[in-house]
Amino acid sequence: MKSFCAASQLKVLVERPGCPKVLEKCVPILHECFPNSKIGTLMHDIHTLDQEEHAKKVKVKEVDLEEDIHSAFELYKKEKQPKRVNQYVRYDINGRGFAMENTTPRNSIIFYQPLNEQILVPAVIRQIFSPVSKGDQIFIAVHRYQEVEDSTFKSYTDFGAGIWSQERSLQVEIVPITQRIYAANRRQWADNRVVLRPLIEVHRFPSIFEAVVDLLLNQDF
Amino acid sequence: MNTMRPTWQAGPPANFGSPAHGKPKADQWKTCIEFDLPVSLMKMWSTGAADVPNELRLRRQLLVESTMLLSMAIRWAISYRTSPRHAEATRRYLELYMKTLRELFPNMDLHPVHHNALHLPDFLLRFGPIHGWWMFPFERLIGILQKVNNNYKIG
Repeated sequence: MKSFCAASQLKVLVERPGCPKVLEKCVPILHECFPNSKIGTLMHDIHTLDQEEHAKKVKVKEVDLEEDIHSAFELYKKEKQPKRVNQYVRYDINGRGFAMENTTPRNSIIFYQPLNEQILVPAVIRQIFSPVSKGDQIFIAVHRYQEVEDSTFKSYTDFGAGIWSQERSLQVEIVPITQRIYAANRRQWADNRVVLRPLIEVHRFPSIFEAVVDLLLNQDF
Repeated sequence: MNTMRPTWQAGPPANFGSPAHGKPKADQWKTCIEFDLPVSLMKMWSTGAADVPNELRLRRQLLVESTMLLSMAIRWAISYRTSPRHAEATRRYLELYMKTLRELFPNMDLHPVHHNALHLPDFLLRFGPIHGWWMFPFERLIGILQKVNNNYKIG
């Protein structure tokens, strides 16, 4: 209980405006040890005793990227990339499970902030992978949900939900997991239309740069 | 309900709202008010069918509005960040929500819990994000302790 209270106080301290820069640098460590996980601090502590088991559960498989994903990846990196990658069927970011659509559809719906854009867009995860030589750089290949004209939730922007077509774009986009990523709720709205709403943000390592971006993001919670 | 949610998010019980389910827990209310209830009400009542009397239609729309305001207040209040912007949005939506409550149920007295909620914005600024000081971890701990077998002996 003492650890829980100490961690809570520390979390509050680093969230406050004017927090010393040296403490801000400790934020990633704090998030790693006490993530904003729904299972809570106590359960997280219990789970850390079982970390080896957890590591065994992360299934990694060497595969070749499909042509369209490989092209999108090269476009994203702006240089030639090998086709061979480590594929993760599931991947946990700060205690939140994400997965490829053909594995666990429920964990494959995300909202993310595209580069140079100030909005969150919904998408479906097609593949989670890392280059074989750079295992610590994890990327997600996604297909965006297509936009439709519907103003039902327009008056409630702070609610965060919107209506999209059930169809996804054919274009593949690559999202590094260090970017803002939210899990999402999805519900059928009408024929071929779905309501989507972002849940809690899980981006991995907050930085000064992201804090600046946050101020500009309309759906910043 | 046909909501698709991540496997780690607990959904409301299947028989939510029926007497067989009993009293919903705070966490179940939270999940419902965050997505399921507002979206369901928006779908059913936001436009209103042509055969519904005007008075009933307006009342339903106000109920939708009230639910949305509460949901938005909760969304700002339970963020993992906090700032004057978060506190102000929480206060604004809570006040608007309570105004709609007064309109919908003029004979209902507001309860201490409504008053307490209006202190939340101050607490967000003083103590930081609500996850650092809300009582869910303690409730969870109590739940774990209650399940420990003790042969009905206390202590």
